[in-house]
Order: sequence, then C-alpha cells, then structure tokens
Amino acid sequence: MKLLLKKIYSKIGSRLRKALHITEMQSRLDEVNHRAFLLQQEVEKLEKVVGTTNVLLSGINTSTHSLHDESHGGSYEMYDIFEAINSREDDSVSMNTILEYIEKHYPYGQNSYAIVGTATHSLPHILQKKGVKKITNIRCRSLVGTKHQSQGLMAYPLELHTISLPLTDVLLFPNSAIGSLAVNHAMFGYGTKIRKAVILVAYVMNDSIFSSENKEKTFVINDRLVYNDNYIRQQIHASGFSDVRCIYTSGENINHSFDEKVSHFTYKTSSESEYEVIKDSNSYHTMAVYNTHIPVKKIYLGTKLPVSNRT
Amino acid sequence: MQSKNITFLFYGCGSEYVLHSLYEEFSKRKYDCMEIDVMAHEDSRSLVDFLSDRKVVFITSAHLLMDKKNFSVFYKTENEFYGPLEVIDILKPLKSFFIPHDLTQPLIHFEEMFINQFDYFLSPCEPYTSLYSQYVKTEEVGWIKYTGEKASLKKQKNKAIWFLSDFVVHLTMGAADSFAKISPILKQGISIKFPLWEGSDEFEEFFSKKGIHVYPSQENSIDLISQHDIILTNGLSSVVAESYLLGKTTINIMEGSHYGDERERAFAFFPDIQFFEHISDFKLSKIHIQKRKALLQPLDMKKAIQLITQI
Repeated sequence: MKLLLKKIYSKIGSRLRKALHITEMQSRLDEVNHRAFLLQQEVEKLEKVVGTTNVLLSGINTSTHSLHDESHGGSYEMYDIFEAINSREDDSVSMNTILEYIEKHYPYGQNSYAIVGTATHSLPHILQKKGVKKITNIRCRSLVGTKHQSQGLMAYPLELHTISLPLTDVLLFPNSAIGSLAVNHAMFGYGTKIRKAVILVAYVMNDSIFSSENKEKTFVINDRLVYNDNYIRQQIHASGFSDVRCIYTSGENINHSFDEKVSHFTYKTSSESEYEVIKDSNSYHTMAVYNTHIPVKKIYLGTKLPVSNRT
Repeated sequence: MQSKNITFLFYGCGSEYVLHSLYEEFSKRKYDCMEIDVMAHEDSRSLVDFLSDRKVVFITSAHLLMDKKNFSVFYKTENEFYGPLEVIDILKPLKSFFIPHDLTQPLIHFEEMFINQFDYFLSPCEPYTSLYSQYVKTEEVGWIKYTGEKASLKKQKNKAIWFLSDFVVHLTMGAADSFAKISPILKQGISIKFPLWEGSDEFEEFFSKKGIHVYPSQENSIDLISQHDIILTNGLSSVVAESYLLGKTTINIMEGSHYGDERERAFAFFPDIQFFEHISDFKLSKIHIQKRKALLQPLDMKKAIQLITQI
C-alpha cells in the first residue's frame, strides 16, 4: 500500500512539475514575444532618428565643405537633401521638355535609361509605356544604406555613389534637388557608366550664363543653392561628357527658349583640364534679358561624344 | 556579316601608334585595311571623311581625348587630324577597339570616363582586365609590344640598363648637360637606351664617346629588359610596368621627371618599385636583385584577330 501510494505521489508530482514547467515556458515565451515587439518598435523609432540624424549630419558635413568657405552656401545643401528625399517638386514643364527631347534624340526602343531621384514612379512608367525596355530607377530615402524594391532601388541621397549603376545609355536627374546634389557630388560617379548622355535639371543664376567667370560657384537665394552656369558645365564635363548644352531655360523674359551655349571639354593634364565655349547664343538674345540677378531653371544635356566639334 | 567587306581602320599618333604589327597581319590575310598615323599625314581628316560612308571597324591605340586642340598643348604640329572620339562620331563604326600603347597607364586621368564609347578594351594583362571590365567589354590579349619571339639571352656588358624617358627635358638641356646630370648613375656600370625620338642619335653618339654603353634606340625594349637584371626608369614610362611585369628589379629615378599628379595612381599596382628621389642617392652595389614571376604575356595575335573580325 505504502509502495503504491509512493508511486502515485511520484507520478502526480512528475505531472505537476511538467505542467508547471510548460506554464513557465509559455509565460517566458510570451515575455520574449513582448520584448521582441518592443524591440521592433524601438528599431522603427531608431530608424527614424537615424534618418533625421543623417539629414542633420549632412548639413554639418557640408559646413566644413570647401563650398561653404567659398560661398557660405554649402550647408544649404540640406535643402536639396530634404527635397530629394521628399521630392515635393513636381514640374510638368521640365518633365515634358525632357520627354520631348529624349523622344527625338534618344529613341525609346533603342536606349536604356537610368532615372535618379524621382518622387513617384510616373517617369519610369511613362518611359516603359513608350517602349523603353531597360530602366534603372533609383529613388531617395531618408535612411542610410540602399534597399532593393520591386520598383527599383532606394538610397540615401549622399550614398547614391555606393550604387553600382549598370552600363546605361542615358542618365536622367529629372528634378533640381537631385540635379543640384549631383553637380556637387561628381554625379555620384555615374559618369563612367553612361554611354550617351546625361540630362540634368538645376537652378542657375541667369547672369552667370553668358559670363566665363567662375568666381562664385554657388549663390544662395531664398535659402537654396543656385549655381553658376560655368560651374555646372565644369562638373558635367568632369564626369566624362565632351559637350554640354542647354536644352531648356525657364523664365518669361526668354520665352522658354533654348539657349544655344555649347561648351566643349579640352584635356590638358589631370589638374589643368578645362572647357571652352564653342557656340554662344549671346548674339540671339540681348544681354538685358540676362542682367537680372535671379535664378532660372535650366535643363542641361551632356553628351559623351564631341558631336559639336565639327559644326 | 562578312568581315571581308569591311574596312579595318588602324589609328594612332606618332610613337603612341603601336598597331603596325596587327595591321601587317590583317594585310597579309587580305582584309581591307587602312593605317593612319596622324603624325605621318598632313591632313588625315580627309582620309577619315573618305571612310564615312563605308562599313568600318575602328582600332586605335591613341589617347581617347587626344584631338588637334589639346595635342597642340604638348607638341606643336600643323597636321590636321581628328581625335578617336571624333572618329567614332564621324564613322559610327560597326565595332570599335581600344588597345593601349602604355602599360604603366593604359588609360590616363579622365579617359576611363570615355572608354565605354568603345565596344572592346583589349587588355594587356591584369589588373587592367578586371579594372576596366566594369566600364566596357574587356578581353585579355597580351601586350601589343611583346611579340613573344624568344630574345637571345646573350650575356650583356652590364647587368643594369636605364631606359631614359621624359626625353624632351633632356633634349632641352642638350646632350652635354644631360650627361653631366645623369652620368653619376651611368658610370656605376649601367647601360642606357634612349627612346626612338628625333634627336636621340645625337645623344647616343655623345654618350658613347664618353665611354657609356649605349643601345641603339631602335632595339626592342622587351628584349633588352629580358637580358638585364636591374632596370632603371624615370617618370611614367611604359617601361616601368613592362619591366615590373617581366619580373625584373625595377628602379624609378624621380629627379628631373614629371609625374603631374598621376604618380600615386599610376604606380598603385606596382608596389615593389624602388624609388630614388635624387640621382646621388642611387648606388648600384646596394641594389638587391628581386626575383618575381614574369606575368606579362605576349600578344595573342590569333585571339586579337578573331575578336576584331567577329562582327
């Protein structure tokens, strides 16, 4: 009897211990789940903080940039970083001009395109509908690192240089914020991967267009960077484009006309290379039109081959 | 497409035109081919224009950005000629090939931005094959100046030889001053070879009379490198890489040489080069002969022809 009771107690005890163990495991698992949930929330918060910090740090970095010393405008680059991330700019005039131009000169079916810094998927979508087979679409995000998505790549604006662009015929910087950053960041090193042309939108000080002077690379108007036309051309040439021309200039005074200034890269040595203006529209427009110190939006075209050299 | 109906254009500039052996091989095989050394024609533009309605395969060893304007910065010439990029624009070749003439710097600064205008980069060896394959289709065919014919390994008078480059500097000095400057090295028992250049025969005669062992400038550099243990170089000459990649102890004398801001970049792949800042620092007796594997391969003529004729 004693033995029987002992066995029963032992069995009951074992079952109780097992039950207690399972309950404890269950409660620990719940705790782990809860902590994982909290951790996920913390990660999300942290990502937001990192994104914001990146933008702030960009501003801090640019204040030590040589541009800041020269024009005290370097830290205004933050404006372009915010703009590129949020891409509030939506200018159908620029977009239509770009589309019209590439339709005429770089047939959709025969060329590949890389689009950097669009807010929406509309431009890649339009190009796709028009028959472009190969499009690399890169959008900007506030977090560090790059991310692959079904609709393309995403990268923090100042990390665009980490993306290895495939060999592409035409590169587009369709909004002025990303165009502005591209000018200041050696086109993120994409020049070596482009076979035919780059199209870049930027804000330019109109009285710098027909001046060969490059004293001030940038100007600050309403808290944003506006460029010297000559500086933009220099940067496009330095990224491996023989000729640079303007395909669109905004502004009522010049009636949206194309300005005809064409500059050509001349190699001397790595430190002395320069460009020369080989065609100028100065004779077509009165200087008075350009004498006002206001920013205008321009669309530049840089071509790999020196097509203008023989004209 | 039958490659026999196509004109193969071999194009280059003066001593940087290194495609003659390839041209000869094409001629022997009855391909329709044309050779243009822009220094040998007063107006090679008309020859290129003549080909503009033909089907052309373009092969060049000229610097990509070398055109009449920027070439004149270094060397005054009355000759009229196009740069390689202009030729591509005019002829729109069925295929285009770049074969470098310089092993130390196959592409100089800025050129890597434009190498994607060619269909192929025919690389002499690694690391260039891997390096440039990110920009353009690259095939390794060996070194164009290296025929692979076994040079007789006859015992030479001296175990060390100086391949003098930056010769224009010495021409400006004159033979007597040049001798006074570099004889502290040569008198240690070092032979010299001048580059094949206008005026080099006068130097050969002067240095020989002073008791220095001089090789004729027409001698094959690769053969001479093979026959010596220690190779002295100066500046950014192609011989630096040729010697290094043939496994020889390679010395670079910096005094009086011009590197621009390319020195670090150009020598990044050759870590064992021994640099001497001053001529007086160099003591032949203190040079330890290094034994390294020869990595340089002769031109694979069969492969090169196969690639070029594959349309």
